[in-house]
Amino acid sequence: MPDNFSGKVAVIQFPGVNCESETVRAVRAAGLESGIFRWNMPPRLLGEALAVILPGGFSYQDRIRAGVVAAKDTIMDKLSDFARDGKPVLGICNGAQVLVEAGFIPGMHWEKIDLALAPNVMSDREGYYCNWVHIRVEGNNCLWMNKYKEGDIIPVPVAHAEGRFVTNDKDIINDIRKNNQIVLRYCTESGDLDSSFPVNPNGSVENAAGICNPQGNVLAMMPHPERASWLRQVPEDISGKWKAKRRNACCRPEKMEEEGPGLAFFASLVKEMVG
Amino acid sequence: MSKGTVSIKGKPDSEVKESLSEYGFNITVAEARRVVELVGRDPTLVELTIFNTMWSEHCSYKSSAKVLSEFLPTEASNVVLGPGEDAGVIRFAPAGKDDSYCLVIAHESHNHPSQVLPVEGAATGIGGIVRDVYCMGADVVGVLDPLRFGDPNGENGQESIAIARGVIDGIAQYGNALGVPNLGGDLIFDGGYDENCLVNVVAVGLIKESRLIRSRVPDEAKRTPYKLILVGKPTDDSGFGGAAFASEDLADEEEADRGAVQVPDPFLKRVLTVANRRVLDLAHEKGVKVGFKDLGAGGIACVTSEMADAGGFGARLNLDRVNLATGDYSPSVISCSETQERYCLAVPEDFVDDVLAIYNEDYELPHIYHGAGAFVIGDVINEKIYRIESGGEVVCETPVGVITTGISYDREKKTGKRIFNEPELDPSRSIEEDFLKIISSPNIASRNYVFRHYDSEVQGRAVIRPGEADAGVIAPIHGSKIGLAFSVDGNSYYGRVDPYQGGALAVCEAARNVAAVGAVPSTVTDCLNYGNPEYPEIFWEFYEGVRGIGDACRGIGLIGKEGEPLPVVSGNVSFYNQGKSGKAIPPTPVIACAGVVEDYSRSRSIFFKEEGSSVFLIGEPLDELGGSEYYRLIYNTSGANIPQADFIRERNQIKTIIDMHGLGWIRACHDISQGGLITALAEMAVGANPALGLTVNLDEFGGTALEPEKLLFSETGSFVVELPGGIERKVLALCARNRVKLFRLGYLVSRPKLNIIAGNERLATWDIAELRDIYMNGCRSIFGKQEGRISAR
Amino acid sequence: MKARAKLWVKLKVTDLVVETAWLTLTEKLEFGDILYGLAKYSCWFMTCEGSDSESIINALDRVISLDSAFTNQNKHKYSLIVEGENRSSGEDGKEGVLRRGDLQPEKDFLFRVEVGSAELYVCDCLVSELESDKDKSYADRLNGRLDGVFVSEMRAGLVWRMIVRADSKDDAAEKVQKMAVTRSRREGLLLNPHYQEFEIISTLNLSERSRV
Repeated sequence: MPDNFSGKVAVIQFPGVNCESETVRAVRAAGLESGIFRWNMPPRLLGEALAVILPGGFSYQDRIRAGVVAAKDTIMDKLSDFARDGKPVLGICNGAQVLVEAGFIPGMHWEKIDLALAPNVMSDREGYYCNWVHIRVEGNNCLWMNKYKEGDIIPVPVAHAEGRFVTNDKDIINDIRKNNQIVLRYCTESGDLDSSFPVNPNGSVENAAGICNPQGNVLAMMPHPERASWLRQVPEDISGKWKAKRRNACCRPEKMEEEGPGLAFFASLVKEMVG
Repeated sequence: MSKGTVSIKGKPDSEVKESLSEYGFNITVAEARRVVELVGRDPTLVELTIFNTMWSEHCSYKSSAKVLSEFLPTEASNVVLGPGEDAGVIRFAPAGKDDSYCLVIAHESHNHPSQVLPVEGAATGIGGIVRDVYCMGADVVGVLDPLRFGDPNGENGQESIAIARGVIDGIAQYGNALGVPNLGGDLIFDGGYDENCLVNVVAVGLIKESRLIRSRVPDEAKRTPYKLILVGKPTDDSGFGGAAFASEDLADEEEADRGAVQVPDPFLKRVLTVANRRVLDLAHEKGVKVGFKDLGAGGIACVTSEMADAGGFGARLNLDRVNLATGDYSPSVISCSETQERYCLAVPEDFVDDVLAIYNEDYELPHIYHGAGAFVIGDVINEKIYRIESGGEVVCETPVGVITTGISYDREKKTGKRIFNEPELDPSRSIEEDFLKIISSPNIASRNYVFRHYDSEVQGRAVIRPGEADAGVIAPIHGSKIGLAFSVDGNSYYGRVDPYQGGALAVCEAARNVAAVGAVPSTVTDCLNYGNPEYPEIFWEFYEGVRGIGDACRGIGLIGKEGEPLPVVSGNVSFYNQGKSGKAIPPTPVIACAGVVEDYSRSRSIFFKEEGSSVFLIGEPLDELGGSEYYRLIYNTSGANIPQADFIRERNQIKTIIDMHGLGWIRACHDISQGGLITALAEMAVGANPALGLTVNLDEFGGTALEPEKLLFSETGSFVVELPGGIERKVLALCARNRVKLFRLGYLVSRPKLNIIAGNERLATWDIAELRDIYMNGCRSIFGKQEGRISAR
Repeated sequence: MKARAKLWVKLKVTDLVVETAWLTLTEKLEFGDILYGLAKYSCWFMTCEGSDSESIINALDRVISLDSAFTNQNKHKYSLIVEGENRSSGEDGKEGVLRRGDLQPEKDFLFRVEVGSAELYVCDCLVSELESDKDKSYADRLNGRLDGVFVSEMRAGLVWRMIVRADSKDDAAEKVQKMAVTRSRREGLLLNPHYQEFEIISTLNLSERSRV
């Protein structure tokens, strides 16, 4: 565990998260230094980081509600300042749940709870659901996505029980839409927005898979880009244009190590930071 | 020692029996007298509690050990550690100059607890098995779960479904939260499990050979003082008597045993796991030798005595230092309770502070869980004495070897009489309609609905996921093309007819499954689930099953290492699987096979890939429909002619498939098992993207005199492969060289129909989209949306 | 007749969710000097129709004991109370309230800190999901197995029992609301108002109670 995060991407390890190692690996593959930041390390160390990622997993075992206990941790005070300074913050899955429960997302009213990531609503089951889905890139408002183009279709896995973006305040949704904050939407392999399960795997409002703050430096996304950062991670029978790429790598192990559909989230940070 | 002793010496059997049952002990009077002999006096209550646990079937393998050592091959050139410790270890790839990457594998059952409390029982099963792998110093990279439930349409159907649902939830809740991907499993519904489900669990881990940690006090303790540290959840009575519980028949009132069911906590386990990793890394950096073992059955007494004895030491414990949950616990409970999420470390005295700081400060265990933490509970001593003190008194003091030696029985066995008949085929039946029944059967239909409950992606190593092929494949080492493949198998319907074949065929199928993704079967583990071994017929089933496994492991062998067996490196025996009515489960040896893939980029899914590809059958369908899905569903009989394991044929076929992968020919490959050839073809077709069709001409089987139904539904082990067109001659040559039979089934076309013809006669046609609907919904329809358990009572 | 039925279910073993909630409220959110006790129950509030209270409670008791979606006796304690809508229908006037189960919610107070002379209130807060079909599916589930009894209304949720130091009932309610409803990062924990709702279903002054 490093004791210095200067110039690095800090991946925060709340107790119970479990995607910290592969997230660090993906960031490194994109070309940045990265290390795991244990939740109770001195907060000032976090201040020096280049960017912060809250990885997936089950912080505090999703007790009470996914993300809410971590959202109250002391380190979040520091992260709040960090995010308000416009520095890059990404929450993946459980990390997204933490960002929503901390009120960083949607972030029009800083630290106010304007959204929830509620239990999945699915047609034939309840609870946890893990599968590959497609998401569509919307707008170009978010620094974590500047390597993608509007309309790009990204195959990526989801794995969660509480991933349904929802609000009981119509104005909030209108504002979010107006600000182009819904930057990722669940879609079919050809990019159509179908709101039914399993295309929309959790019943999320507006098919939202990822929502950023108005400034675009903080992104909360439910799918796991670190699990789609190498071609080998993509199922060979996936629909859409990545299938041909993936199948082309069969019997060519060196090609399997090439970039997968999710790596650009981390590579976008390189572009943002290094230009 | 007078205080708290149990009087046995000089007492008549009836009195001893009474006092044993008063204390709730399961050991027999004879065993209690043996304890007196060993300790040389009446034992203390704590001592007798320890023996009661250590001599349970679950801990001592007292009925099974001799049979296992008689038949199972445990040595081969790839074996680092065979049975004996918590998990087996094989090496599978070089790691630099003098080191190897190793696969660590462990396999257990958690049947009884899952029957009583499905969610917690199954979760605890996962929790226990991953600990066995973690404590070797390894990172757990996957779990698999072979499950057997009662007949969903039978008398106890509602309850069976509810148990199945609970078990699936439990596995998901624990594994997903812990961050260990699910690599596969199998799911069989069979009325034989109506009163006693089977929840077997397999965990696999990764470690470099040089970093392997042993479950023993290191040699260095001869020179430096060593301390014993207990870390994890505060000890309570939640699992008190658990080992004994696993070795009892399910009582009439299941609730009576509730004390034995442990409370799993994947959150605490996850934090412990990262903290353990830090401790072991620091020990490695500092060159400190440590011993490390998880607490399972038998709790503190079992773990400390075994660690000390294995290293050639003794131990002195002070129970007053054990962190306890709120409540009042006797020394016996503290010594032997099975509280989950605990480990024991043996570390040199001058490393103790580092270890405590990592657990208690860096990872704040006391804040993660009230009362959790790491505490020094005793010393390693050179004298081979095992002593426990509590409240200033010695509550246990015996030579350490006495505790760990165990006992053994020669159980009587008697050949079971079984009469089975083949059904007479009804030529008026429609293959077309019959197959729709087969493919919608809960034992055949897609398990996709179940798999989606599990995280198959976490850790980012997945190459082939559950349901995509016959085995799950991961790329364990980043940047390396080496892959590992895993499968679990064990068909209860074969073991019923012939328990020897049940064992042998389970190995064959598991090996076949990993070969189907191009892996060389490299090791197996076994979980042997049977009824009460005190019944001679049950013990015979067990004996035959193990004999079958042993023969299969030697017969198939280690491909590429002439003369070496496929080694069995770990396993578990689960007896007393019978329910309220006293009916035992069908003999169910479950085999997990791990295979090594030279180049994972050649491992393909079972789904058809390209128009114009040729589809071949490797191996010949024989008149072996006994125990088949077809006989059971269509003729309502098991039949008599179950597949007969032919190890030379299996070995040759497996070698051929691995050769084809090596040559880069395989586009899709699927083994034939339940449901036969036609099921295999349908499964390959329904997932094809884009949709593809095939016409199979049964005249290709010309020489064989089998009826079309038998050709299509025979479960003789073989493979279907999709290969590029234009290499037929090479394929023929390879098969001839390997002495395997080859049949051309046809070539893939874009018209999405599956046709069966014989010459010019059309026997059956199915629309692939229709097959997909039926296949994908067969399992979902059982589980529906309701949650929770409904008892039939 | 119509009757109201209440089912309260509690874990026999330590409820880890409660443990985490307690730590979060008292240490991270600084309610340490307000909160004196915390417990959690799964609850179902129903309106049932049947011939009489006795047959209603017997039918309900049988079904909920066999269905782990409600109780599993290996891990739960429960309290089932049926109260006839027309209390006077009972001959001795007591028939109106019937009880089953091994839990007594009205006596189940767990104090986690020294009480001293503080004025304490017990507030039961029901948290349930907005726009959820859970209530209906629970009712369907019961009606599928109940014989001669029909569940016509159902409300399911979690009840958090909070023992708080307060000056008055209103003060207690306000403090409980602050702890429960997550309005911002520093306010509230137990529910997210964007998909959950919250209702204080009872408030009891503990010192008044002890005087009774």
